[in-house]
Amino acid sequence: MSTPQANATFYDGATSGAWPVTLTREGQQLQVNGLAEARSYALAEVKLEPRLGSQPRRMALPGGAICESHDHDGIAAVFGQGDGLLHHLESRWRWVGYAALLLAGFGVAFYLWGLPLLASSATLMTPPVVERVIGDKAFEHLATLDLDLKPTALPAKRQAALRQRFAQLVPSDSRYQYRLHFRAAPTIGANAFALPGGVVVLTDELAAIVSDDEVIAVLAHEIGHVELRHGLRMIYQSTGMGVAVSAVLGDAPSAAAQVASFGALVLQLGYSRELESEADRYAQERLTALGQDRRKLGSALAKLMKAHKESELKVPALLSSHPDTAERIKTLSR
Amino acid sequence: MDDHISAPHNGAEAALPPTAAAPAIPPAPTEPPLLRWPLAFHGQGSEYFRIWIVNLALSIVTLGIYSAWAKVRRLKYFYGNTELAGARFDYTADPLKILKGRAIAFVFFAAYVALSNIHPLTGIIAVLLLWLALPWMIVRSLAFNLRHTRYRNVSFGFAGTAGGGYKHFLLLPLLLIPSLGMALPYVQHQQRQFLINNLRFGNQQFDMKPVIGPYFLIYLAAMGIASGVVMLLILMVVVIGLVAAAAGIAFDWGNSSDALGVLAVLGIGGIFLAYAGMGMFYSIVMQTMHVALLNVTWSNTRVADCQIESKIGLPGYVKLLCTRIPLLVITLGLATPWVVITLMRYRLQHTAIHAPNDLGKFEAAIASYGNVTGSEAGELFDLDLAL
Repeated sequence: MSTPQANATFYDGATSGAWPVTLTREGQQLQVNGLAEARSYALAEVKLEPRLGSQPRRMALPGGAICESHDHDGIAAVFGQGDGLLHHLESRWRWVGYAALLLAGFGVAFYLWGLPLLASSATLMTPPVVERVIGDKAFEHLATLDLDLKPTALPAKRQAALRQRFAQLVPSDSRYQYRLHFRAAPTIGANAFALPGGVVVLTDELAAIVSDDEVIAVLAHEIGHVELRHGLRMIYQSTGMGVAVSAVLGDAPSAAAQVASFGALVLQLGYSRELESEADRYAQERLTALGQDRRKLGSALAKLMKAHKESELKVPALLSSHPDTAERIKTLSR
Repeated sequence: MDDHISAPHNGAEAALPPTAAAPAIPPAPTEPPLLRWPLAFHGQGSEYFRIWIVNLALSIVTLGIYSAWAKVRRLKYFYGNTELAGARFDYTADPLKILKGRAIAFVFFAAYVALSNIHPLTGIIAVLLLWLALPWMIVRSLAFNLRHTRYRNVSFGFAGTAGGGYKHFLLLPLLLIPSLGMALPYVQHQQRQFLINNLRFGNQQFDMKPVIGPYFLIYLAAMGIASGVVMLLILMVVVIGLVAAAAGIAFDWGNSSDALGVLAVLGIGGIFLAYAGMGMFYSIVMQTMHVALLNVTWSNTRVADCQIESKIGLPGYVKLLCTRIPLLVITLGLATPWVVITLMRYRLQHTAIHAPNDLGKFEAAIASYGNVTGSEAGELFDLDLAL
């Protein structure tokens, strides 16, 4: 039986010089032959790095020198060691398959439960002041966007009546100072929306097609968004999605990261469906508590949908993140 | 398998005997003829894919703890597959130290969240402090990562001081304000020069000649191309929008709302596609600009008596990006390992070192830079900075 040996290159650590050597094993000693004088090291003190792909294997020798070797079989024979667990995992497609399955499962679970949970706990930890600042800034910003918000043309009497009922709608223990704005908005049409911190906007176009009771039901839905802090949750969720995507694609070229963030935007839409349903439930409970007709939200939605169908503004309605509206009207009319 | 064992050794041996036997060629009085040592990259997409996915899976299973080991393994893979004159590079950082740094960063972040919960002002102060600490962190993490980058068992190093970091990463960018951003190429150039001139290999320092003119030219060209592409895409979006709108009106008369919905979706899809296309074009321009800057920078850099050559062909690189980035999109990022390897191979294939000898003459530094001050503190932070 021939003694196991391996070809390697020796680097002394003092200079960048390289010396071809052969490694052999004598009992518990590693013998380095081929230098001016042969060297011997206790095998227990030699740190053999685990294998990584097909690249040369390195071993750190006591005293700062290293050896580098392409001779994988020779090294395994000299050291009497295998390639290590990691290399085993990384070189079997079966394990790679398990890893891929695990990743896919984790991705789905993270999207369905992990991120919403993280976002809502982060929301709980954020003081309401932050929401107010965000909401106010966003409202200022709306004016500069192409939304084309104009002063309202609603009669002062109706405005006053709606404001009074809106004030009753706001829960007495609310942490937010609500501000209801009436605006004419020819470009967005019949709509209502809420910003974090208590800004609620109602368009004249919506007020024109629904009754006061229905307006109140829609406003209850918007109050739901504010009280349940949906704006903040969306901010946290999109941030978390961005972080998660960049963690997975950490070393991808930046173009891939950009495209992935675009995909994250699409995934966002899935979350907003859930938030809409939550706000719907909130509105129904609130209306019931105040002894009002909870079915008004459903009828308001039906009118809203009809109005959007009749106008030429198909795109916003289609793009809107609201859950399948027909489905929603059915649920809310019960 | 066999050629793996023998080929690099033959290459190394051809270059080595002088070093191993006699004390090599005596320093010639005139300029010695330069030898060209091309870099080669041996990484393979399918091999890296397996390492990448096992890294990810183990990081998740261990709740992120393994990510420090994953980082070392990933860098080891890239460095260890980079060959220069018969020898490989290596990354030798201790994953435990990286983990410690990440844990501390996590604690800081949690403290920040808790503090800003008590009062928003404390949160703003924390962000300000982070901004002030950033140059110091850049310098420390460069020192850490370079100290653990080795070639032929000789380590690189970074000799930049925190003061230099503040000058180049905090004060210098202020120039962007009065110049309305026009000074960006200059700022970038000065930062790059600061980084490279403080780079060490063994006891030798790198030296980058100033190339401010080419920096401005490259930025100008990139901006010209980018604005042209953006104009084109805006035109596309307008055309798609008009077509969709026209089709929408036409169908409205027929009152077929389903067909209309489909068309509207198509229109929106077109706009999304244009948006994604714009993102891709933008980043192709940016990456190409980055590579052009790399060429200029490294081609004007020397270390000791070695001249670096960087001739990454831009048309070839653009061609690669144009085919590989859509691949990334189609595979939802799963092709990342293949693409990263391909790009890396292309870049390294076009890089070489011109040296009067076999690169065996470098001496290790007596005291490694970055060990001198702060020591462990710098290892707390782990920023990835591409040189």
